[in-house]
Formats: sequence, structure tokens, C-alpha cells
Amino acid sequence: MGWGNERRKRGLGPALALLLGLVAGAAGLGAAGLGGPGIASAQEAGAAAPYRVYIATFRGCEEVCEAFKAYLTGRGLAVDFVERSIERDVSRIPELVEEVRDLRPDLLVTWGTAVSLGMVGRYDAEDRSAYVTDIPTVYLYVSEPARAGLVADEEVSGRPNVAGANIGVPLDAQLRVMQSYRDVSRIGVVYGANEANSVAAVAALRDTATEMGIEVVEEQLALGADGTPDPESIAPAMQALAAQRPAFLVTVSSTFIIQNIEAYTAAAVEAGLPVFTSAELPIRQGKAMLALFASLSSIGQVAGYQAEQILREGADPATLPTPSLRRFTLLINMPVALELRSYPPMLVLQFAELMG
Amino acid sequence: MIEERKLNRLSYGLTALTLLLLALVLSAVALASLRSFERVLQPQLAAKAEVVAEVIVSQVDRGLQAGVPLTELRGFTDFADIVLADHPEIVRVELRDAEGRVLFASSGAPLPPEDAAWAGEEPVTLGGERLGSLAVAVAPGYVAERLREIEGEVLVILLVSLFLTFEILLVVVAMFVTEPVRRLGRLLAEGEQGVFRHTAAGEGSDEIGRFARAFNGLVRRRQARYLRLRESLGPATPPEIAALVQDLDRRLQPEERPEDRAAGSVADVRMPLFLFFFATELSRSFLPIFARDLYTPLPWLSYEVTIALPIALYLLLVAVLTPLAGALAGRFGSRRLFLIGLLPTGLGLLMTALAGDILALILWRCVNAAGFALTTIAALDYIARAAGRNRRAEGMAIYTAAFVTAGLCGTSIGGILADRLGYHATFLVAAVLALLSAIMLVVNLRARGAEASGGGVRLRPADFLLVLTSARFQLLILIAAIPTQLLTTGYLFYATPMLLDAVGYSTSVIGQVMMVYFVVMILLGVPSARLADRFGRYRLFAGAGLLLAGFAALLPAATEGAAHFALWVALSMGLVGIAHALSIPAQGAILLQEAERVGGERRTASIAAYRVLERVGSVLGPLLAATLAAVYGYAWTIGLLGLYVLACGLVFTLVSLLRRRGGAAATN
Repeated sequence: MGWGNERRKRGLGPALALLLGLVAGAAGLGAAGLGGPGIASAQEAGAAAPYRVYIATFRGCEEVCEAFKAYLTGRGLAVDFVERSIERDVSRIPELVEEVRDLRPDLLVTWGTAVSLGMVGRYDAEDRSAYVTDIPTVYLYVSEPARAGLVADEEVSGRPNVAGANIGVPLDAQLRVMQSYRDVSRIGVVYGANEANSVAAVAALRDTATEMGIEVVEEQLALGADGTPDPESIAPAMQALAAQRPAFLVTVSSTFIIQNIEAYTAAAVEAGLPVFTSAELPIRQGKAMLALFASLSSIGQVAGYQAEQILREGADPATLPTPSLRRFTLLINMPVALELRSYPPMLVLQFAELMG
Repeated sequence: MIEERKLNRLSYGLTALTLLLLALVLSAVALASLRSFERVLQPQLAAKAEVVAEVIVSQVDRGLQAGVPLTELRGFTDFADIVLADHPEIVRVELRDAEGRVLFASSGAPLPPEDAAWAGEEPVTLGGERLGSLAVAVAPGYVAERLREIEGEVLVILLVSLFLTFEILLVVVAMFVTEPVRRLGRLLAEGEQGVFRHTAAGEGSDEIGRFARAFNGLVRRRQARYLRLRESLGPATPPEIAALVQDLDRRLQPEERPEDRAAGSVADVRMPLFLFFFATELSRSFLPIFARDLYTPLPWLSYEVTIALPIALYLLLVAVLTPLAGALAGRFGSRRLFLIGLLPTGLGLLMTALAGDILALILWRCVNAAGFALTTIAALDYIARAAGRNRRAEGMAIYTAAFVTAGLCGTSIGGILADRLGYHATFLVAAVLALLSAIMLVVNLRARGAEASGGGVRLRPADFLLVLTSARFQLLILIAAIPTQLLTTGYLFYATPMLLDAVGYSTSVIGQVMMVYFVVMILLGVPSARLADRFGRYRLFAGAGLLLAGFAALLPAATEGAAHFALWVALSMGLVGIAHALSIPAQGAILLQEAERVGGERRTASIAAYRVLERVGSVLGPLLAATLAAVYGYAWTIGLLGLYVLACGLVFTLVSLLRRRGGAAATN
């Protein structure tokens, strides 16, 4: 009578669960409260003028900036955007500070680390006369706001007029994505010890990896006479690292690496090392094989969410919690994967975007 | 006069013949439908295999197009296993190269390539070149297994329709044949004595009705002739014929029979009562699961207690309200009380169907409990009066039969309905049944039973005290009645659905397993009671029942994880059924004996108080089972309840033996 036929219950594999959690709906935002129906405000009732939002960018309103604007208008806010670009010239920042002081917009939005620091300064700056201090400000597309000194703390800005969002990929998520791709018992890093942020990033990576039972091996780039790494030292460092057989070479935060990304990743591939990165540039412009990063549109949206809290709810930037993104884009550089014969498993194939 | 026994034999024979014919026809229909089901199932399975193959091949294609060689499709096994997890009828997939060599496969035992289970192959191509194929194997027993499941359900429906037909036949035969013939028989018996004072009710167009009309015409003509004769005699009767006239008065004076005017027959209430129980029993197989699904945290209450509350609180309210409803029966009369009771029942079932959280479920179950208490008391009151003093036991048997038959039908059909329609819709069906029951009552009892009865026994606190302080009652209530009730509600009604659901069985199967208990109760209830009466060894029966029930409850823990686990639970269920058939009537008989010993005017009241107190066990059952299950799991919870009942059975048997010896020594 079918009494022997039990329903089969099999759970999703842990790797798949992770990928579903991290990657599914890459455009969606994980931060609490994002999306959902809008709340009618006094402004929508026609009682008030549109908000004025001043956007200061490094090189014009690109994808992140457009996503930010689209989020606000999509949420039903009437906004007049004032867009200014410094055209990659940081010396023009004081002009913009002057203009903001004159215009007194409802909100200032600053794009990237350089513009943000130029407009509102470090959180612990003693002389604030050159900065905007009395206009609510949301920073946009700042990869490591706490490490850059823009804010005091990762959870909340602690500054009276500054708020924003964390857009970095958590280290444990990075490591799990690597594990879902292949067996990972050891990873490697190649960096220059001259950059303090690189040293800090390697230390943080080592902490998380050790907790997960993963060993971190490292090679340091030889420093030249000027105290910066010698580009010629990249290839030997990669060969030395490859001899220790790490499953992945992981890129860490470094100005030198970003400036030499093509040579850096090409040398890794030459040495037979697949490169994992949590930024978009190394895989788009270099030969990184696997990347997990926040999509540009989600970075714009999460900043838009913060702006909405301030404009519509009157939230205090100083105490507004800093949200973190939870959904990211998983990208595989297929030509590199084929060159290294490091083929993606089928479950990863199912959820990843493929390049090439 | 027609002999009643012959009449009964005739109606039973007719009933048996009808049921036999019905069973044959239904079996033929069931067989035909199973065949057609098989014809539909086979191509569906092939289509399913094709869909699964396409899903997997599309992902394989994605890898190939990205440049991954066919031989390097790592993680194929993990991927295939996840796809197959949603399709239990597909047992294996293999990715083969162009030469047919197996490159990758889902996990599990390999199948030889010539195995009949291989249902098809989907080619894997890249740029028009055939690189290999994906082969799909279906579970060899899948169609047979599905058919067995359906067979189970068809069998249940067959069984239930037979019971339903039996119920309807009994009612119809009683209303239109047995009762009218019995009434006519009484009149003919009077006629034999020369008495023609009464006419027969129920003149109709059927044979009995025409006979009644002819008979009544005869009676009326005689009565009319006699009345004319009396008129011609004038107001003053000559003294010399006074004795004769008095005699003729006694025999021919028209008179309305009291029982024709009064409460009517037990048969009137049987069908509505059955429908009412049927409605309340529909949720038996899934109520705890439903409560668990609706769970939302409530202040001060643990998860376990919260999900047991819809059952426990219901039983508590029924226990508390039943004595109160007894008083209402006195005031309103049973028909009106019956209808009043159906109002909260129908409303409760309807609102339960719409319940969105546990609080709503608890609330509406409580309303249902009020309905249950009112309705059952009204029914018992009606039956007691309609059956009259000397046929009260028969009336009670009808009540019990309606309850147990509805339990059987409701539990099994409810499980199937819940499987097909969902929990909410099944409650909706129950509400409709309650409404139907109310309509039948209004029609059946329209003219009768309106007057109030004398009312039941009113309970006083002293009655409870009497039961609680008497050592003999204590023994019976603490180690026989309460453990029995506790096992019924804690194991059968609460833990069984949860246990089987946790293993992965459908509510349809859960209903079938629980039905076994009711089937055994129906088959063995009356014979075992007769047996106990014949031997008079009530304590032996009660003790043996407790021991058997305790033993039976150990089975699920002992067989947990076994293949066909549901069959073991069903066996346990059947054994508990046997145990209860042995024990419960015997406990009732002992109770009567003990009450006789108490004697006095509070004898009946002490029985009623005892009946209320034993409900403590039924209320505690679900709460205890839920709390234990949080720690030990359901199988061991049932086992622990079994051990407790077993221990009670041992103590009961020992004490009974000692008393017997003591009693024997005293008489010597």
C-alpha cells in the first residue's frame, strides 16, 4: 500500500547552498530593508520642492552613479541632481567644496575614495576648514572606507554628516567560493611589504583562512631603490610561490598590483597559478581566473538606500548603521581557465557568469 | 405477530447482500480505474525522464560551449544528485562518451547497460558533432509502487463506502421497515387481545404504509361503530351492562399512544450524528502537523507545549464543558441543543480552515470543543429518551458505533483529502459536513423531541472528592483509566502523525495507519465485551489490555529505521486497538461494580465524576508527548509512554491478584 515508500529528502550540497546565497540574483541586495514598497512622504504629497542632491564624481556619472540615481527615482523620490566631475584632477576638489557650500544641497554624494576624502576629509582630521562638514554626505563606491580613514568604524560612520555602505566581499565568502571551485588547502599571496594596506590585508586573510583550516603561503616582491616593488621581481616571485603549490593566488589591496595588473596576472598564469580576486578590474583587465565582487549596480543601489534613509526618514548619518552587501557577482575568465586546465565544476558553471 | 428476530434476520440478510453486491461492483470499478491509471502513468514516467535528461544536458552544453572538454566536467555527480533529489522516480543518470563508455554518473549503485531500467538517452553535441550521450534510468518499481499507493487509497475508499452504505442502510431500514413493522406488530398483538384503541402512524404509499392505512381503516370502522353504539345508549348507562361497556371502553375507546407522540426513534439521529463525528474526525491524521506548520511563538510557552495545545486544550474544554452541557440539555431539550451545538462546530471548522497562525487555530479548536460537548450531550440525551429505559444499552451501542465508524472513515478519508487538497480545504469539507448534519437534524427531528427532558445528573464537588478519596476508584483511575486515555491521545492522536510525517510519509498513509486502530475497535469491541461479561473476569481483561497496549507502544522505537516502518506502526496501532477493546469495556464494568459498592443516591454522580476525572489523562497525553519528543524524538516518546502503561498494567494486575486472594481469604 505504499507504506514502504518514504519521501526522499536530500539537502542541497553545502557548496551549492553557498553559491545560491552569494550569487543568485546578483543584482539583488542582501542588506535588510532594501526594496519593497515606497512610503508616502510629505514631498510626494506635493507639499515640498524636489530634493537637491549634489554628486561629485572622479570621471563623470558612470554605472555606479547611474544605478544610485535610478534607485532614488525608482523609489518615488523627486530629486534634482547636480552632477560635477573633477575629470581625474584632484586639484579641482576645492572648487566643488566651495560650490556645495554655496548651493547647500539636501545631500552630497561623493564618488570613490579620492573624491570622498577630498570633499569631507579623514574622520580624525584636525583641521576641517577645507571640507564639507554641515551637509549630509553619502560616499559612493569606496572599497574600504574604514581602512581609508573615511569613517571610524565599519558598523557606523561615527561622523556627524557622513554615511555610506560596505561593498567589500567578506573574506570567508571569498574562501568558500574558491573551495567550491576546487580543493583548497593552501592559498598564496604575492605583494610588496612597502604598502601598509597590503600587509594589513594579508594579515586579515591569514586570520580567516587559518580559522577555516587553510594555509597561506606568501612571496614578497623585491623593493627597488625608490622603496616601491620592482616590476622585474614579479615573475620570479610567482615562480617561487608556484613551487609551494597553492590552489589559488589571491590578490590583495595594493596600488602597485592595480597599476601592474596585466603583468602581475600574466606572470601568475605563466607560473601555472590561477588568480582569485574580489575586485572587478583584475579579471576584466588582467588574467585573473575567478572573481567574486559586488556588481556596479548593487554598489549604486546600496548607497541609494542610505541616501533614502537620510532624505526621506531624516536619519542621522552619524548613527545610521552601515549596511554590507550580501550578494555578489561570480565571474569566470574562461580563456584563462582553459589555459590553466582548471575547469569549473558543473555547480559553479550553473551560477557563474562566463567571460570569453 | 411477526417475530422480531425473523425481521432482524431479514434486514440483516438484505444488508449483507447489498453490501456484498456493492463490494463486487466497487471492486470491479476500482480495478478498471487502476488499469487506466497504469496506462497513464507509464508515458508520464517516460516524459519525466526526458525532462530530467534535458535539464542536465543543457548544463553540460553550457560547460562544453565554454570550452570545458566532456571528460573534464568535474562535479557532474554533485550536480546530477541535486537534480535527481527532486525526481525520486529517476534512479540514475550516466554521462557517456561517443563510444558508450561511462565518464560520469550520479552517485549510487551502477546499473548494467542492458538493465531494463534505462529509459532513454539524450545526445550530447557541440557544433553538430555528437560527443556522447546522457542516459537516464527510472526506478524499476516506481510504477508498481505508485500503483500500490493508489491501491491503498482505493481500498480505503472502498472500505469507507461500505461502512457508509451500511450506516445508511441501517438508518433507512430502521426508519422505513423495522420501526413501522415493530409498531404494527405491537398493534396486531393488541388486536389479538381484542384491543383496537390505537391506530398505526406512518400511512404511506409503500407496502407497510398501505397496510397501515388498511389496518387503521379497520380499527377506525370498529371504533366508529362502537361510538355510535355508545351514543344510542344515551348518557346514562344501564347498570346491567355497565361491566360490559367498561370492558368495551377499555378495548375500543380511541387513544393516542404515548410512544407515537414522544421522542421518535434512535434511527432519526444516527445519520446526523455519524456525519457530525465524521466532520470532527477528518483532521485526525494531520492536526498536530497542521499545528506545527502554523507555529508562531507565543509568550511564556515552549514550542512543544504550543503545538500540542490545539489538541490538549480541545480535550480539556470537552472534559470541562460536558457536565455543563448536561444541565443545558435539561433546559433546551435535546433537538434544540443538538442544533445549538452544531453552530460552534460548523463555525469552528470553517474558521479553522481559514486559520493563519497557531493562535487562531487554538481559538477555533476551542470553539469546536464547545460544539462537540453540546452536540454529544444532546445526542446522548436524545438517544436515552428515544430508546426508553429498557433499550438504553442498545442506544448507547448505536452512539458508540457512530463514533467509531466515523473515526475510521474520517481519519482515512481526511488523510487522503489533506494529501490532495491541503489542510485548510479539508477543514472546509468538514464544515460542509457539519452543515449537512444540521440540515438532516432539522428535517428528521422537526416535529419531535422538542420537549425538555428531566435533565442529567448534576455534579457536585463532593462527587469528585468521593472518587478521589476512595482507594478502589483511585486504583482504577490512576493506573488504568488515565494511562489508557494518555496513550490514546498522546500516542495515537498526537505522536503518530508527527512520527510518520517526520519519516516522510504522506497524510494519506498516516490516515491509513491510524485507521487500523478504529477497524480493530469496530471488529473486536462488541465480541470482547461479551467475552469479558461471560467470564466475569473484568480485572484480568483490564490488566491484560494495559500490558498489551504498553507492549504495543514499544514497537515503533524497536523498529525505527526499518523498511516499511509504517507497517510496524500500523501493527502497533492494531495491537493497541486489541488492547483497548479488551481493557476499556472491562474498566467500565469494574467502574459499575465499584459504584455499586459506593451505593447511595450519588452512585450515578460518582460515575459521571469519574468520567470527567479520567479525561485528565487525555488532556495530558499530547502535552506530555510533545514535551518528551523534544528530547527523545517521537519513536522513543511513544516507547516511554508504552513503558509507563506497561508499569501501570503490572501494578494493576498485581494489586488485583492480591485483592482477589485477600477477598477469597476473607470469604473463607
